[in-house]
Amino acid sequence: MNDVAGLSELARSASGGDERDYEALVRALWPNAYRIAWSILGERGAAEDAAQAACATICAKLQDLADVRAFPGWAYRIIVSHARDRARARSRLQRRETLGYDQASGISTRDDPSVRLDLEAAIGTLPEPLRLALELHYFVGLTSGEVGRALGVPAATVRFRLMIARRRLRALLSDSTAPSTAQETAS
Amino acid sequence: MNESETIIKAALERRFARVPVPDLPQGPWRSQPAPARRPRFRSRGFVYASVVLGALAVAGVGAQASDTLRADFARFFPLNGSSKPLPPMIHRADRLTIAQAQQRMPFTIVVPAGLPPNTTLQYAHVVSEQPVPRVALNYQALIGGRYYRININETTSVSGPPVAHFDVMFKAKDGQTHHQSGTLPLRRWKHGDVIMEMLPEGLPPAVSERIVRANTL
Repeated sequence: MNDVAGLSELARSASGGDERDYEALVRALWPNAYRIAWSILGERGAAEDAAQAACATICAKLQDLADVRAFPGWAYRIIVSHARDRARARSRLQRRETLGYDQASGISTRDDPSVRLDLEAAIGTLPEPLRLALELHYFVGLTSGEVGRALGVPAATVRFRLMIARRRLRALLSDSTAPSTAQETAS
Repeated sequence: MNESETIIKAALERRFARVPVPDLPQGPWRSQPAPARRPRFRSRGFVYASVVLGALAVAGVGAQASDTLRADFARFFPLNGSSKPLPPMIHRADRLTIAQAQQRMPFTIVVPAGLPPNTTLQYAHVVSEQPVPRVALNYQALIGGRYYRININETTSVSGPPVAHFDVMFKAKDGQTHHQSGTLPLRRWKHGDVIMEMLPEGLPPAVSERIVRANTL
């Protein structure tokens, strides 16, 4: 799924200036850039715009990056910043957290009270700092230091956020039926 | 990775699997310019930025720099140099190379003569483009094991006496925002059509006089 070390290698190649290397880098980065932007913005169109702008910024500033080993954290910092800027500009962040789970797919825990609050839904309703820490660490595969760089906080803060997020999800994790029913609920 | 982490990871994969990723937009990616972004207001560099922008934007009525002002100024421009490399004073979004600044200036940027050895350019900063273009060159000099800041402004038009307005806002430990302002003497000279200015405060006299001996404008 995700190869963070591969990203650094692609960034090293792209820093040579070849257009094909740049495209390969963006192609590798694009899916998760879009997903993280979607997680922050909650809208597909806005997420696509933010991810595209972030990729353009990453390409334009890649030559300024002194150490390509720092590329993953640096790149996700740009992605998160672009998405947050758009979220702030459109004043949707708070509204989305209030509304609940996944407007993009049309499923809302608020609209249908019978929908069981499963693990996926619980992740979707976590506050943004906790949710982003989870997603960047467990899904994208960044280390806590890289997540810290992406979110602009110390690595210790990331570990604390992960601990809090896990604690909040613990009740659901103890329910062994949660993962299987989550799939059914979503589909 | 323990069991609960595996379950979280699986849930995240299901969460994102339901969001189809659109096709990658067409390039070319290499030649795309960086989208212009507004620098953060009151970021960590805000205090430093307020100093340099205030100090280098020439303004005000001439006045003698008081000892109090010099002491406040020394917080940002160490009078005897600093044992550590000096941090940039503005947000990274505003830091440019001379070549990048040159693209936005209608006049040819002059590299000042007489800079001491072991001097490096930290960054150039476009203070204004319209109506009067002004660029600031920020150097760091290593003299006798200590670091000194050298700030030189270049413009095409000036008005008023050679005095720099000194304006600092900072937040104290008690949470109160404090404001200090005043003026400091400025050296101003002409190089062809370009008017150059330098704040000698904080520099050893032998160094500042080597860059420019006196006001020639």
